[in-house]
Amino acid sequence: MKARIKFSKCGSMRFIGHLDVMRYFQKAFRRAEIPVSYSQGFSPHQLMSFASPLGIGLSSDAEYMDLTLDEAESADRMVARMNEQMNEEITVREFTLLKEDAKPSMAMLSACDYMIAAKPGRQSFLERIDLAALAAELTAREQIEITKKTKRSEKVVDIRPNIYHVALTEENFAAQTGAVYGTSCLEGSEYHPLLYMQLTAGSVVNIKPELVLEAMAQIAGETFDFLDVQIHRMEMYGDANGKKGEVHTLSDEVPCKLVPLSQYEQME
Amino acid sequence: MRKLALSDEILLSVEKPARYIGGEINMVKKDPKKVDIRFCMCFPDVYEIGMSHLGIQILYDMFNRRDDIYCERVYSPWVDLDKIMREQHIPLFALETQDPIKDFDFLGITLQYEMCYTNILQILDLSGIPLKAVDRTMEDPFVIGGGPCSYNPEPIADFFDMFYIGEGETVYYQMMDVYKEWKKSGAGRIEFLKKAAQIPGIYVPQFYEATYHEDGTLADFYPICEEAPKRVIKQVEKDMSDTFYPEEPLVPYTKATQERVVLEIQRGCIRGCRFCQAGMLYRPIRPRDLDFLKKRAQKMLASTGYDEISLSSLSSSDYKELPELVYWLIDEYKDKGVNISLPSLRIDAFALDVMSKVQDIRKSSLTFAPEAGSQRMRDVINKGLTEEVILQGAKDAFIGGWNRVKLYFMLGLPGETEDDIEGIAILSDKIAREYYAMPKEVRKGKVNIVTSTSIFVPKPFTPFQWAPMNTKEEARRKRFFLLDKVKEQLNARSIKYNCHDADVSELEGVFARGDRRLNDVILQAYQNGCIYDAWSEYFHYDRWEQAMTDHGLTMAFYNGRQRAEDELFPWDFIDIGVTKKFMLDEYKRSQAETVTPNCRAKCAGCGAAKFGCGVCVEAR
Repeated sequence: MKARIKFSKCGSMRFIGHLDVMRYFQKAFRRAEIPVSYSQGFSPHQLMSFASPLGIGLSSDAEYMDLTLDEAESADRMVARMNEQMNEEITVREFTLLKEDAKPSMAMLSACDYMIAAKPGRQSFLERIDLAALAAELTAREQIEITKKTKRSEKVVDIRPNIYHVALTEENFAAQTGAVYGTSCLEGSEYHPLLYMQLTAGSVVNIKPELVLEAMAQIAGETFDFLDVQIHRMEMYGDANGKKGEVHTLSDEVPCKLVPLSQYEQME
Repeated sequence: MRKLALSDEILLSVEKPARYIGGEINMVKKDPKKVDIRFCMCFPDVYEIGMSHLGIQILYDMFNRRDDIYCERVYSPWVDLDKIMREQHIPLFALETQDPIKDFDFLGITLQYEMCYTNILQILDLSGIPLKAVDRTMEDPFVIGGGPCSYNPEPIADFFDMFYIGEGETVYYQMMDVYKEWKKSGAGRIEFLKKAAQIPGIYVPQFYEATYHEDGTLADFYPICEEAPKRVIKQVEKDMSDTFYPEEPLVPYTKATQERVVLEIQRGCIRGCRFCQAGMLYRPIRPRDLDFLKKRAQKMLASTGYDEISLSSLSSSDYKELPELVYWLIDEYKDKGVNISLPSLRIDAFALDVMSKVQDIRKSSLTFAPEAGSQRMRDVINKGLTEEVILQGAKDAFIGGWNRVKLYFMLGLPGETEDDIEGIAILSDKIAREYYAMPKEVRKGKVNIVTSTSIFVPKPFTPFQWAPMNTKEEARRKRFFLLDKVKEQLNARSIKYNCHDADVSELEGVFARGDRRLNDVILQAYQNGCIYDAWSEYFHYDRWEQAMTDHGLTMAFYNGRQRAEDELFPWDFIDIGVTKKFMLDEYKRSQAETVTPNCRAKCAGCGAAKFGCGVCVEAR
């Protein structure tokens, strides 16, 4: 059976890379005796896949992993069993069983919510300028061109259609996205929120929050340093109107209809 | 959230920040304010290597079983962080509490290989601890060394308050009790060292003096205070099935060199290979009970979630109940996706059966360590492996479907001739011939033979401790000679030849049989920027050469001499049980090309029987 878990990752676990997180879960599942199905062949491995690797240094309330299980107990029991084997900085928050024909979250991912927070002892350009005015200008623009660098190439892209929502408070942000965020793992920490944004994500087009911050710095005539802010992922979505290989932005004729991955293709 | 010693900016600007954050699975958490003794264990190399070391895991568990001790860990910061810590004056910290090392009562450094010596100085320096023991004050931890290199501690004697000669399971608790008493008494640093020197196995170098002959050899070595014993006796854990062994070993987040449960099935070796230091140091062989091993295997696999278990020992095939243990592991764990790895296994029918059950034949390779190419030389080194056995093993393996073979040899063994070297190429070729002798339809493409040579380094407490080591020029010439001989073989295209760097081996030789005068050489090399000498990209031969010259010493003095039978060695004050007389007899037997039977076949009277345990008291 297919299942999806949502987990948070914060504190020192921000410095554990994606492959290490994968190994961490493999071992945790073995310790918890979670009956994860194994691939066939001489060196079998656990059938698991992640929606989107989280970069080193980023924190998150909503990482998603798909699993194939031989059997499962109730969602609450599964969460409890897994959390018995987690450290305090990675917590499993939800467990949902998926429809048998559910597609992998990696293929269905369409958008992500991010919070940008100030770091103590550092001052980012966001704290030097009139952020409300800059956010307003960002959303008012019809086009935002920026050079996107990949491993192979550099090209100028217009990222405006991929910025769905921008807000300065969680309350305003939640009102725009319609999501319920719950308690963040950053709460009580020394990082305080500055800015929220919802961006296109996934295998076709993936807009990193750093790129938007870069664009904002350009507009404001400032420079952006990744080390100045804490980037925090708040949610990941699938698009109920989307198809594999297509991106529907909010401004398209058939706009995206975002559903948090934990509810996407959930078993009825 | 856990407190970290390094800022986000630093962690994000160095390679693999997971090396420095601690918090691993099964890490022990205690309130440092509620313990009497804070002990920091150190492996002076990079995290991924240090975390793979079983010894620290055993001692970490042993110390932390006591409520009055909190044992933490530290590894060498990689060169990128090393630079930042120096620039920003960040003190070196332990992984658990992220507190500075200087705040600890003890810093225990495990000495696994000679080429980590400058990393010891890096650890002390970054911690803000004076490099020389005599310069330390009440503000500093006691620095204690242990592990195989502590059996000749002299080249690094100045940097340590104490060395622990023997197995960690034995006298540490006693030392901790003595320490607590001393701490309460308010006495000075020297007073503790005097008390420690009276604990069996503890060597306090500043209580000893060395004098030299005009030719540079050691004239005398003696204690200068009455608390220090004339001879320091190796401490041996007598009952390997009733002692400390972790049930919940630490599991790193980032990939370590050993990404598996390690089960030490026995300690010591019966074989008596004349080049092998471990084979002499850890005598007598002491197997652990089958039941003990099964229970630990279960507990460790359950507590770590590893999908592999490795059986560790110097020669697994000599563990009598090996088939029972291995088949039990296969029955119990094969269906649970647990892989079983068996290094140091003699290739025979049993080994091939096990390997076919636990490994993917297409991906795995067969490993032989003949160590020498000719039968004559194998007799010289007392390696009881014959060509027939190797070829039969290879043949059986080829029939079983393997087509990859790894061969390990040494160059520069005592009395080596060109025939012995050429023997390496010929043996490699004979193995290839076994493969091509099979009918074509049975073969799976080409056979792939990787022949590797390392340079033989004579080690203290071996029968070859008197023997000269090849110069690096000789070693190089031999490498090229062998390369030519490999090329001349019929199946040259199936044989790949790898060799070890001769510059590093030369220095390893100097440290291995070195004396106290090398302390200042190591200090100077460190001050001139040498660290991570075991990593070829950071090894600077010229700086070492310069440091030797500046102190009026030569590599040839330590490596090139045929040492006299009656020469006093810097390590002779250590008593490992095995006597100097036995080792000298063995050296002479090697020159006569006479083999000595293994401990189980016939006791050779080496002296280890005085410990009254293991094979020495086994029913025969």
